[in-house]
Amino acid sequence: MKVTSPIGELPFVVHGVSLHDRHVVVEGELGSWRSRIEVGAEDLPMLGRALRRPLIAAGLGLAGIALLRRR
Amino acid sequence: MRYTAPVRDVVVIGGGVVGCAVAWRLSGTAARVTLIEAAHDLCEGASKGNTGIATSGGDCHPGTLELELVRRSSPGWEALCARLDTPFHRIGTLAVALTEEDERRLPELLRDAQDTGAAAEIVTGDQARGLEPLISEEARAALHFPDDGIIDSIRLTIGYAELAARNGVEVLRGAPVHSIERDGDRIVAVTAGDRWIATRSVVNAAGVEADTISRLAGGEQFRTWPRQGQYWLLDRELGGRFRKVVGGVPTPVTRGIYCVPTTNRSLLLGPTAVDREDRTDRAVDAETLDHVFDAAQRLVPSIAREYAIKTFASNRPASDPTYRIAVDAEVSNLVHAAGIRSTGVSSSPAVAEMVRGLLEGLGLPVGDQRPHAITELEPLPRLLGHPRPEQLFARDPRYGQVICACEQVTAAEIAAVHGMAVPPTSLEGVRKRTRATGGRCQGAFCLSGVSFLHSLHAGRRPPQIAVSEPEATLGIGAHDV
Amino acid sequence: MSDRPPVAIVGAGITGLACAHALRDVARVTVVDRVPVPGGVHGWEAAETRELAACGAQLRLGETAIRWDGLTLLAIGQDGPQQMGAAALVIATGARPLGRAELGIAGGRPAGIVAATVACHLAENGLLVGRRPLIVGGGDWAMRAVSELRAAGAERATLVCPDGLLRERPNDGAVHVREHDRVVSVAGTPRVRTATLASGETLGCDAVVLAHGVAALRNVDGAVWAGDRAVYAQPLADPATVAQARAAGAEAAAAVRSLIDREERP
Repeated sequence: MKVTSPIGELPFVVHGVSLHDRHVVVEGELGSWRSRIEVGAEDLPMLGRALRRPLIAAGLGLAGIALLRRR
Repeated sequence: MRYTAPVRDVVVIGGGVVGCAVAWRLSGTAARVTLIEAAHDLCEGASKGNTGIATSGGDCHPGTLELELVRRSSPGWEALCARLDTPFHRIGTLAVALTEEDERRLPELLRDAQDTGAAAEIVTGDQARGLEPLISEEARAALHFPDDGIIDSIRLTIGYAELAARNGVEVLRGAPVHSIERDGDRIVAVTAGDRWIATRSVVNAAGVEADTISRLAGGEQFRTWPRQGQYWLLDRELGGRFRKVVGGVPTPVTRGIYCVPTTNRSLLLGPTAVDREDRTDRAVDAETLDHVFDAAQRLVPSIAREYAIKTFASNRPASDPTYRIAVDAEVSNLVHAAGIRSTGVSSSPAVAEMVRGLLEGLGLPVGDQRPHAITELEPLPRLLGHPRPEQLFARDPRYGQVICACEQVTAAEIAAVHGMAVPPTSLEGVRKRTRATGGRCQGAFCLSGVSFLHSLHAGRRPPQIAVSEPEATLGIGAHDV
Repeated sequence: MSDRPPVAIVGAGITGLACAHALRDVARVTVVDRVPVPGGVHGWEAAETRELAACGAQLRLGETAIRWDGLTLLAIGQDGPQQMGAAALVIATGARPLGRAELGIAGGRPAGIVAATVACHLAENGLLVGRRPLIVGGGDWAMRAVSELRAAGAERATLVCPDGLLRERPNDGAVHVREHDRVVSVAGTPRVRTATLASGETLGCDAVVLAHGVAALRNVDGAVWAGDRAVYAQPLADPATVAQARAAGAEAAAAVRSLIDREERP
């Protein structure tokens, strides 16, 4: 996964996905920086716009896959 | 038009060091105060472009109001700056005589200095080099003013305003004064920006535009004009080696050019002093800059172009006479604090007290201190040069995220200034409060990171990020600018 | 082997990594970079980066080196401040284009005047610094700025470059070139409106992008101009090619070796 940032494009490596409190939490590393993404129901309306943003889309995709696998 | 109720006791026009000092001084009293600044931020005029010297007055003219106010302000800097989270170091100035002619003038200048009451002594060339090894071998003698200090004039100005705002002073930025209404010989209201403000008095601290304000109020006709100075900013590596402020021998016309180590160890060279017409002209030119550089290099041969980071110009408010601090002769509730040309920083605490006294004489409630008024700002620690970075990190892990590497400004500091009572509204505002983007790479590697954080903290979408004034956006929008 | 002296390298670009690689047998090398990925300007995905990053040195990425006192390097990152003792310090922090004061551009200080690095970073993030930018320079920074700004929506661009330094003529009808010329002053408020060239011509523009010349980038206090036991590995070229970077890294490693040898033989 790749993220564009104010300092350029960086790799995002996912280490784990979990569900906390109705939020999907993606833990990972942005290069060597510890990083976490939390996606909640309030972010869902953004999905339409968000699909243009690879990070959130990929994060959601991975979260979805991981949760499906856990079932 | 929005009506501001209730009526103010004092409207201070001008957000430079003098206006902010007045607002600070009044903020501990019962008075209701509004501070108005035309530009998008405070401290946009001479108060941000100066050498940062808090003079002890040795080169002021004896018998002048300027000298009196500088002398009254001088002893209190350590205590005041501690309360305003403003760096100040009383390192002293050496006015260096490079020629025989300069040397012959020193005894007379010493007598003048002694008349001012400031500490002063003549030292030999060798003694001068002992005090400041960077001084040229050509130096024959020098006048030493041990009580002069260096100060961060931007942190001082913003510190004054910050404390004032925390004490309830209303600060309006981006609010140029359009009109001033009178009833007989008294001002009753000021229209600035989109606000109509009823007020019992006005303080005119509008710097180069002080004459405009007086004219709008129907007050005395006097003229203020820009006295332009051009400057170089040089690297901390050089500035950090200085122990003293180094200048030439002052002439009757000008104090001359200084080499000033700043409180963050960079080095300022300047200023020139040229009376101009155009108040908005802040252009540097190669000839003047060369002149400044050559003069500085004669004093300190180590000064070299490779250390240069930035050049800039700023306009000091000149007037005749200077130091017009008085109630207007025509308008009974208009107090001028105008024509404060060269020593605005150095005299600001005493000017503020003098203005308070004049307002008290007009019957305004500026007498007693309110018991619960805040008297000091909580210092914001900065990573650059900090002896205990682990303490900073323990306090806020964002001290571990260095955003501007040249000045070592962290995400913690950038976040903190956005939580101030008078926060930055532009990248220039972030620079003034943190020094981010002001270092040797001039933002080449951090401007985008700083703008990202500013947009986050200030709640601005990226296309709205302003470099300075709101219409000077970082990115161009849909319309041609 | 705990016999090997520690060496700290600031900058995990090709230069810094090449230096680390060359020192791997004689020193315990730590490479620090404020960016959380290696590779510097050549990028974390470049083959050379991947190859050199596996050289065995400890990589402390996402940490900013801030102070050197001749014995210890202080860096700070997401885990707080870290002190690293080192027998030598290598500064491999790359370069930047020259700034306004260095280029001698007179005039006021309006908005819209930015380094090429900034113009490109912003363009990548969807912010265009100008629809009619004027780019000063003729090397790689300038070429990249021209193409990024045009791709981000600049209607036209003017490239102004001094004698003989134009790397190539852009194949883009909306890019005008002024060779053998330079910007001497700018005007406009609050945003830049015009730039005046040495030839006397005044051009309208809404941004001036500084992409000319090369200066070393240094920000470790105590090792900015010179430092105790500090070696500088910064090829001053625009661009610094992989070959130049590797050579600079190797040269720095040799200097570090003699520094260490001198100290071990009192």
